[in-house]
Amino acid sequence: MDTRMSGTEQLEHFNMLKARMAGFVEKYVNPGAAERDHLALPIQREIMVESARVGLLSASFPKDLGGGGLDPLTYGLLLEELGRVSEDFSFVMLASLFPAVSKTILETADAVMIDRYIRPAIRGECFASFAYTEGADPFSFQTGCVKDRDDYVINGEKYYVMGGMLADIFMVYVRDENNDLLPFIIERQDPGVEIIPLTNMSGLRAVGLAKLCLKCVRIPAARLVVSADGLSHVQRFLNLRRISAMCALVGRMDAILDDLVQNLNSTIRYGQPVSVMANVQAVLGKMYVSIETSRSMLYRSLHRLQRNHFDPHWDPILAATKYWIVDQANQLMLNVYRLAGGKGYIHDQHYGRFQRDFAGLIPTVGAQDVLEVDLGVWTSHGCEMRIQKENEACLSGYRDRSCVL
Amino acid sequence: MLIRLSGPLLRFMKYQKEHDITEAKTVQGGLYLLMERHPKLKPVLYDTNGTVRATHRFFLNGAQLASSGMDSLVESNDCLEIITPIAGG
Repeated sequence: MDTRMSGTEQLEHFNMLKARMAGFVEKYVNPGAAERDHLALPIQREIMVESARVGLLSASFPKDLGGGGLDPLTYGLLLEELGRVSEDFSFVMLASLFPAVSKTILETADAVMIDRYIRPAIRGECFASFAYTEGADPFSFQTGCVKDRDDYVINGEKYYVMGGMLADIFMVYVRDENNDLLPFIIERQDPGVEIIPLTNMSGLRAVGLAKLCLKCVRIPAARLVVSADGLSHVQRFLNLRRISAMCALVGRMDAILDDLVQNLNSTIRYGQPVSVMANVQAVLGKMYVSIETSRSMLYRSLHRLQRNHFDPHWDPILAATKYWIVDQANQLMLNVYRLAGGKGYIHDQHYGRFQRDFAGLIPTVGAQDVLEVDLGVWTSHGCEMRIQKENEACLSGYRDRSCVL
Repeated sequence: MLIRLSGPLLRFMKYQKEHDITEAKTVQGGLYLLMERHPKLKPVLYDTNGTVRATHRFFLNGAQLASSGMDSLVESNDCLEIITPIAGG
């Protein structure tokens, strides 16, 4: 049975989800956002469950599994809209992370794993995070596993697990006896699992960051996600995650600019709103360029995903998109302070919160400096020429899709 | 064939960027010879199933090789470059 939706059906489903999502965010997410940030309280589980109920967490899953069936482009637009309406950027990070991890597990899942992890994820009963970073390069990871008959016994620590305080399962990357990296599913309730909250962050303080400690955790071999080359597996995950994490950021940049302009319109100096002053307008112009160039790159990347026209393990356009949008978002917040002055700094505009949140994206899903180096090496091999040719071939399809949405 | 490496792979090559493998007849053969000289490179380039890890990118004289191109014939003046764009989470 073909369960794919037509363009019109995608648009109708998108509009329905958009409306439900806006009501849900206004009621459940925005009211406690500032307090959660102030106290470094993880998003409440009830909020994530409710977000699943309105269809947000299941939107990108196949319809035959009970998901919303949105294609990559439409789902990206939904996340962009989520960023626009949500005043809690930690929430939007989790709302895109949990489905992203579950969908990665789905790629290789058998029927048992689908029933145990994926269907509950779609229903909002199982949140999946991923545990990779150890504060070292992947060839120096210490977390390891030893094969013991049909099981693996895992020991080690994963330092920074986003959503760790909420997650029910973790996709954990572990070094085996042959020095290969293997991804396992570890359940929160597995004996030997300890989850330690990390609250001393500068930004994204409500993502429920945690350290995952594994002491003689015994895992059946059936929980192995792939049997070899976890390094490539995680790069594949991060490659796609760079884009799903950026969609909401563009929407939030939009909302911040709107908010700033309203403030500037109501700030009177020398008998006129500061928004009419030429120097202020020049900075607003720069901010507009930041947002629109970010959006252009985002849509280009989404279009590559839509057409399945990208390098699955490391795509230079996706990497450049993450790099550019994060850079622009952080620059945007500095410009917000330039224009908002003391009012923006002292009063309760939450600009500082978003500035800290956006700074938290600098080291996330490929640190900015690492992406710079990788893109530089890539460029030096002359690959941009070939990609440009490929994209020219895609351009007509992009125009068609833009008209629909 | 000259083999050039960069980034994270250098650690396994005593930080030597260029390796002259004159006796290589194919890309694959050149890699095997390189790994004989630098055994620590083998588990980094190949997984335990003997498959080249998908995260590496191979360029022969500037053109990217598909995974099926590892049997490509090479001569002594050819240049194989390996890049490994990996990131943390």
